[in-house]
Amino acid sequence: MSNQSDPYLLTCFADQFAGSYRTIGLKADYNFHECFVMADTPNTPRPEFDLPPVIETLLGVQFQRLEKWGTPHFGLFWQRIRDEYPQFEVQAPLQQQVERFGAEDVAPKSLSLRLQQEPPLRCWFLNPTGGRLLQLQNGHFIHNWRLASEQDTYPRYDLTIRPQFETEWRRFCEFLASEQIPEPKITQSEVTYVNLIPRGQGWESAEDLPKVFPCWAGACSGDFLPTSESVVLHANYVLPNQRGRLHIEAGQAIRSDDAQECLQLKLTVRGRPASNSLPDLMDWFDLGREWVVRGFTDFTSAPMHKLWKRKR
Amino acid sequence: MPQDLDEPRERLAVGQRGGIAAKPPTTALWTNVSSLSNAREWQLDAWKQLNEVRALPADWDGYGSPVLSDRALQQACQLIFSVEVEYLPTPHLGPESGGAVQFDWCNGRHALELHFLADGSVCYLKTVNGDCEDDGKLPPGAINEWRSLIEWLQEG
Repeated sequence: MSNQSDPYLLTCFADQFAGSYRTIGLKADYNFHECFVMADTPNTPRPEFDLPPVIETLLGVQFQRLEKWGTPHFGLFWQRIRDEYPQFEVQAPLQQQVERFGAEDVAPKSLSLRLQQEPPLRCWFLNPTGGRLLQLQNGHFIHNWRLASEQDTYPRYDLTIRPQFETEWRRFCEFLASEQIPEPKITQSEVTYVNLIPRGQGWESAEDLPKVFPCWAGACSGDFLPTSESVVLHANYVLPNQRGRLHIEAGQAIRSDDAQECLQLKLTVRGRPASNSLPDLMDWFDLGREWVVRGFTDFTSAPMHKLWKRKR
Repeated sequence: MPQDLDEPRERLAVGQRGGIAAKPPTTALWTNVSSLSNAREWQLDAWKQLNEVRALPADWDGYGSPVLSDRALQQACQLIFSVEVEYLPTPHLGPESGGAVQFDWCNGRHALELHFLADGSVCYLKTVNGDCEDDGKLPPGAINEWRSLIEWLQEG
């Protein structure tokens, strides 16, 4: 078990306004609540839902900067995928995010300087229906699926999400080979699932959060605090053998598409595959996805599972 | 541990000395969802007003106006939550006939009117001390142009 002894830190932010105190936010933060299990995959069957509230998935790879990559390669690569991804957008580049464990986590950060010859750039390649996105940056390769319309349903990891990523990553590596660019050295992989639970589906206000997230009791030891205006939960869990870390974030949010108030539940697993090989990469994604699904199920309540039509 | 995981990809930041700068994104998520815990007071106020406009029934003006269009609602909401500005006053929002919504924003000498039309396009009017400075029409999703308008408002 984890030797971290900071399981529950409750902080309250109060703001003096017009001569009286009011609570403007209540944040429950139990970072470093880390747990270990002895096996990668439990014996119990993986939970499955007919109507999961997932609205977006992301499978991504971070890799060491490719020295031979140049701006024209974005266009050359687009040529190969343009039939399926006819639209593009230019976005600000992403920062590298790497999970650190044990001594790595407390080691002083070193200062590194690199002369930048190419402008930092991230390209989005979008499919015509607005449901699939490929993101490419020197150092990042990401495939997103999202719910493009209310008629869409989650297309399932095994049937669609996983094979689509595998196809695109293979195609990217083949492109690099054809340009005599050495294969990427993977530093980190990521699986993220974003779930949205609209207001009215199992909850109406911050008071109802315990009905959705059983780990949040919402109880206080005294009677000073009023009902919290909003709640943010953030929990981290280390995967066995430090193969990654699961981050769970939950809180109230607004969906820009329709100004709908929702609970957002985001699960991200980040870690490093055993090697650069495709089988090891896909194995790591399978592990990450396993933790996302089981983490989602554990983190949410049985009545909500009923709402999402849990099958097992 | 990694840094902040919940940075909206199109956020703008304004430093203590003003001036809008793009924050380097740390998330590669696609869907536009904004955390309420990160929202500024003016954003929450504007969002509440937007919901009031959205709740108006058809014919709210007695002249057969339709309800607020989905496209106008989406664009207005995107503007509210894509701009992270520390010291912006709250805009006044009101319904407009034809399924549109109007933002009225005053900051010192500068005033900005934004009209989110039913098709998602935006008409704007910039005035300085009540005199017209500039006006025009923007297509849906013109985030860079929104940035320029907000930056101009900030200078008031």
